[in-house]
Amino acid sequence: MPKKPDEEDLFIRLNNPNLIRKNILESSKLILTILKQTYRIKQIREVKQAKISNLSVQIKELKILVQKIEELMPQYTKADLKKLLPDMPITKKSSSESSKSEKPEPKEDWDQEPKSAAPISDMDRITKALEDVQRKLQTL
Amino acid sequence: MINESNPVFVKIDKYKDILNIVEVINKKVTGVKQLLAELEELKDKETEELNSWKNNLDQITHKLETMQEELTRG
Repeated sequence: MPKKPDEEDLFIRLNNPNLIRKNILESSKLILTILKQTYRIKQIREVKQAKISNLSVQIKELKILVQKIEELMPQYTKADLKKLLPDMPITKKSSSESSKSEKPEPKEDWDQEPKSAAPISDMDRITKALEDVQRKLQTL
Repeated sequence: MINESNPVFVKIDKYKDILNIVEVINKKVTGVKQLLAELEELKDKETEELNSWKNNLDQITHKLETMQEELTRG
């Protein structure tokens, strides 16, 4: 079926088609390079994430070790205890008693929180522990 | 409050435990330092990749502009 005059194909002259072709190919190449880079960045981030998790574990272990040292170190001298508790006879604590009293303070604070409150995030817990350490340092 | 002028006495077994723990802590700190260095290296690598990414995108934009110019000129 012959085309009507107004449906005839129209053409536009391109003076430099090679340049356009070259640009298309180069753009395509660059896009593929970007895709490759995206993949590489993703891989780097995965490795980074694994390392950060490992770091977090190591830091937690360090925290436990430092706490252990704190537990092993005597908290008060006899003279200090006499000053703090003049009426109390100073006797040696049993191991169960001492472990009870040496529990970290923040835990007690958390127990006092209302049960309806939103669950405490790790960040809140760390902030609270940090405040606790700072308070202890100020009392030294 | 711990008074600096009053020394405290640590049982010898506890003292040894403390020394052992300090040694473990030292080793762990070295490991953590190594991890941090590796993380820094990865961060630099990532920044480098992102910069190259941006550079490539700029090049594409430039090529598209050239193409558009060439197409509209006709």
